[in-house]
Amino acid sequence: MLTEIKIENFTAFDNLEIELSEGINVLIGANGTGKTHLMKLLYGAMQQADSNAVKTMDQTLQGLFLPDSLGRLVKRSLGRGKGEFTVTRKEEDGVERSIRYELSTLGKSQVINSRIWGRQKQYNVVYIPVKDMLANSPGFKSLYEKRELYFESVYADIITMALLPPTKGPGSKEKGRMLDMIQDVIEGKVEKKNEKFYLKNGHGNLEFTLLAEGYRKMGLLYSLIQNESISAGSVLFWDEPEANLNPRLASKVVKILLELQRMGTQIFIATHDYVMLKELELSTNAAQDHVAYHALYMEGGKIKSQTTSELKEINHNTINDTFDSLMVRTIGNDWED
Amino acid sequence: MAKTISADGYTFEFVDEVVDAFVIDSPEYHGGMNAMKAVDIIAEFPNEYLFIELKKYDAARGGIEFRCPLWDDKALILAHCPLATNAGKRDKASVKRIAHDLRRKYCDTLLYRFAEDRINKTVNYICVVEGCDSAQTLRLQDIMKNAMPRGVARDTWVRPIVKNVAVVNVATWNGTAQLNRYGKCSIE
Repeated sequence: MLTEIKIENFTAFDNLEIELSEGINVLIGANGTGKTHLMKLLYGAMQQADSNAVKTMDQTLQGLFLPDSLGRLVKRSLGRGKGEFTVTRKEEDGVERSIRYELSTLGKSQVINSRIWGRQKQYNVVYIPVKDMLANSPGFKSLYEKRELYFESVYADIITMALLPPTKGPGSKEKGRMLDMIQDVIEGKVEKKNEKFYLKNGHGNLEFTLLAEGYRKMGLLYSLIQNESISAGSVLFWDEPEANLNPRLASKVVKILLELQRMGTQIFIATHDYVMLKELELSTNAAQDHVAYHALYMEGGKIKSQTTSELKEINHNTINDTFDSLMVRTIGNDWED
Repeated sequence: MAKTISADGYTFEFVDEVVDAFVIDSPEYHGGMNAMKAVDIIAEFPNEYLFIELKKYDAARGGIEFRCPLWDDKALILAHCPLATNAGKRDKASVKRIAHDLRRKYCDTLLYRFAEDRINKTVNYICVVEGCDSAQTLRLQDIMKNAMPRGVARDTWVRPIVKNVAVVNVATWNGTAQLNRYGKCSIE
């Protein structure tokens, strides 16, 4: 599991150091405070840890961020400069490993501890981007491999993961419970044929292109749990899980996230959604769940962070600030003298 | 002359324009009247009254933690009616019940003032809530605005039952020009 990230002068960040929870890590903050960047750096580092990794860190970061040149990932400043980030993880046997990546504005890079960090074992690392891709999956994967497509690598990665066939055998009780929960919501099972996704129910097969986006998202989660891309020991990054979901489904998503976390999946979500946060706050069992809220905020032109174990302890909660502002404006609009 | 009033852990420092301010539940007013309920504080200003209701939703109140997702009206009820601990009682309750309870306290207070022949100015209703987050407070504000007829709502009326309705937390009271001109609010 990932335990810490330190960033200096890299992408949106000047200087940031965050300790990570072994359970659910919730990133909140206004647009432009680096939530997605943070998740991509962690995702990239974990991709390098996998024994099947074929890309270098340079290639991984290029694919994740699509900068015009790699050196652009160093935080912009006048003249030449350097940036770096260090990610630390803890193995099941308690051993800690770190990887440090240094990059100059000229694009010269250095990876420190890459041998110790990587190729130890196979890791399942999943990044669910905001936009749905399953409806557009037929042919995308092969096209992405053969042509220069201006899509961040997370879009091709998620299709690859979702297309993996289901695992053999009945699977764990927890897995069954989660799949049942999703089936209740989408009223069917997810099937794959020729890289196309279908919702199968009593009325036959329904193409994903005909499904509501929210249901596609739940269908993606179904596939990833069914083929155990998300399972014990894996790391899940989910950017804005609330996108295209009716708030009533937030409770189901949170239940599944908590179930995964209790199974041993480390989770990172970035969210702007009050409902998702509130559901998580209400459903968390302090005795068995590990949840950390990481608030990212701008101060003096720099991104800062605050980590708490309880939502109400966050001082920089733009979501609450927005509701406060609405309250003030509501009174201002209709209060008569 | 400025006046400071405290009740239920809240303190109001009303500005110089205040004519009078008092805790309505105290013995010299309506304390001990079992038949009717009342808001917590009345503040009189030259042209208006404020009827102020104070709510604190927390574990100490009935031992039940305030658990109120915005979209879950039952949870809001549980917070408001701590004794409704079993599912049956909760199911019978509704958001209308919360609005009904708060409105009843307002109306009973209005009747007390009628008995005193002191309904000679318009009345604004402000409910100050702590223990909810900002979103929940905003939701409660919408509920109360729908529950109370603001302004002169009928041609036959010569005065409003209530002129303005607001549900706020302490920070919002102090940060809203329409309210902080009456004074400052703080909580222990």
